Amino acid sequence: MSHHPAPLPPAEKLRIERLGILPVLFPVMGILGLSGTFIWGFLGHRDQLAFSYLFAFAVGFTVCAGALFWTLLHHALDADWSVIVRRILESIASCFPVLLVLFLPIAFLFPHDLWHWMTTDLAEDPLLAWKRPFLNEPFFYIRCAFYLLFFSLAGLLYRGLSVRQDADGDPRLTLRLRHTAYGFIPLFVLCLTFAGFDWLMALDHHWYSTMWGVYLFAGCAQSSMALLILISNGLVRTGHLKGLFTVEHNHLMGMLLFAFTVFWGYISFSQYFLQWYANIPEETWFFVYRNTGTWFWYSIFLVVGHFFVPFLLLLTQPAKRTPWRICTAAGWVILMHFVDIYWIIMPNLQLQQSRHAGHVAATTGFHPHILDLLALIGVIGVLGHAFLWLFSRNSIFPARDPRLRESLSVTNWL
Amino acid sequence: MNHPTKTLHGLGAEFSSAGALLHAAQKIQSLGFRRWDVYSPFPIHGMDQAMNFKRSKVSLFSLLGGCTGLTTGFVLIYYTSAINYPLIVQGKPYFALEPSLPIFFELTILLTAFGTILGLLLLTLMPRLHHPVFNWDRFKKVSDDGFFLVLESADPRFDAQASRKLLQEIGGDHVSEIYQDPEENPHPARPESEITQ
Repeated sequence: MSHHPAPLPPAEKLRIERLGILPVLFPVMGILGLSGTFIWGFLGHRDQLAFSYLFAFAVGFTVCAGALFWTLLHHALDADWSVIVRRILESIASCFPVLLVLFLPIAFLFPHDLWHWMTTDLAEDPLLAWKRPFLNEPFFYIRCAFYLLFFSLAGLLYRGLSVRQDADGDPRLTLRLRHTAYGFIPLFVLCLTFAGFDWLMALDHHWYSTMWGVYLFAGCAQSSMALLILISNGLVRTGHLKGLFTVEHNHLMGMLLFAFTVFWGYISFSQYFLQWYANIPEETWFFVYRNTGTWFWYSIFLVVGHFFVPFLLLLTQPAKRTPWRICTAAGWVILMHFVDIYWIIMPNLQLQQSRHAGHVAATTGFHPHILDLLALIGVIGVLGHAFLWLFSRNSIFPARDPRLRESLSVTNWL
Repeated sequence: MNHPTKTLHGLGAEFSSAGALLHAAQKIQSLGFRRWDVYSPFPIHGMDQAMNFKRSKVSLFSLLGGCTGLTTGFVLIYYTSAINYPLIVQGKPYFALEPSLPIFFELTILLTAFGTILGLLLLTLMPRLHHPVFNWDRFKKVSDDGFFLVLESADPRFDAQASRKLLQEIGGDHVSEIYQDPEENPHPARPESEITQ
């Protein structure tokens, strides 16, 4: 049974002319979306602008963080099946320097619109006084810089060394990346958790949840896996990775997407369940705000759409092995990730507005604003353009990775 | 070995390796045999496809078990806490979805597991204390280094002479008849020297 292994496939570049309007669409979306957001916002919706922009930023941030997580995990576990799609993940994770730039307006223009704790009088809020050693502006900006620099460096390092391996084929680079991943994973967890505390949980600084980091992480991993499925199937549709990307890869990614769908459901239920049971006012307000008026139906939609729908869409084997079915589920999951982030951030805008109007903080229901959509379009456009630019510079898969052969011949024994 | 009065279970053949067994299985499958099986010390990758296994029906039993579990959980909680003995605890409703979900979940997966195991036992006709293949002396190698294929005589395509030739053609060694009555055949526990006298 001994036969010579087939030669490994040569490196393959992205054929950008096959992508239709995408290479033009992304920059147009980015420029029109962001300029529209800022012009419209500064013409009289400054608080709406701040929150809409944070929403769009958080969507981009979580998806890129998820991609970095999958890259680190691939290396730490010495995985073989994911080699063929790893360059996609590396390129998404390398968009962090762009996110760092996108964060600048949040840091310099809007912080006092977004974070109520920055403007609250300590004498009126003893709980905040107690949290002051952590929630103070200098430390806050140092932390933000640390998170974004860490994510940017990690993303660039993993893509950079992987691209270097394309040139020299040195297997020691794989070992180096693996060993680095052992140290980077705890750092990643800390940065993601505290970024979640600082940017999202601190929007309502009385509220706290020990599940928050895991909750965000579940959404990160799930949405970036969904994006990976869409991109890799899109590449196959446009004639890339011919004979390299198989139904088995779709099946494996579908299993992970399914697993993280269940994980998200489990974590978000645990967070809600414990606070519902304990019934402590500082904790339950978070959910009371999100059960007021039409937010109630929005929350129900989130539970059904983020958990039950993808659960049923991805449950069976044929669903994961049929490209259009898995892509439908993945696209839906990404949309629901937007819905999830929106649900986290936007009720806080109404709390701020009622505080500014001199009322008790309260929500009024789901009121979408055109700025939400414009900001999202802008950030997706900028990140999409950055991704395409990075992705088209080198081979679309790590052509000389020592585990490439295993990845190409991976099989799920049914 | 000739046992004209005993019922023939089938013809067994031994193969030299997992690969040889896989090829033999592909051949037998392509000839349209229905009642046959392979035996090996470990699972062989690709054997399911080679034997053209269809999707197992076990998942249907799992689904039935799961639905039973969910219904049990709901009825149990709703009846006890909202109908039979309604009691206000911590100002919570008599019946609420939140505290019930973990119990729904637990009972659903518990009965799904029961349903799966029950379905597996039913579909594989287990547990079963004896099987005619154990009457074949060479078969004890199956848990060590033996790779076997057995064609059952109940198969419509089975023919004692032609099938024996077929098994030899596709590389089977020690092709032998396997009979259903254990008493007249060498017992697997008996030493080989005793059998051959």
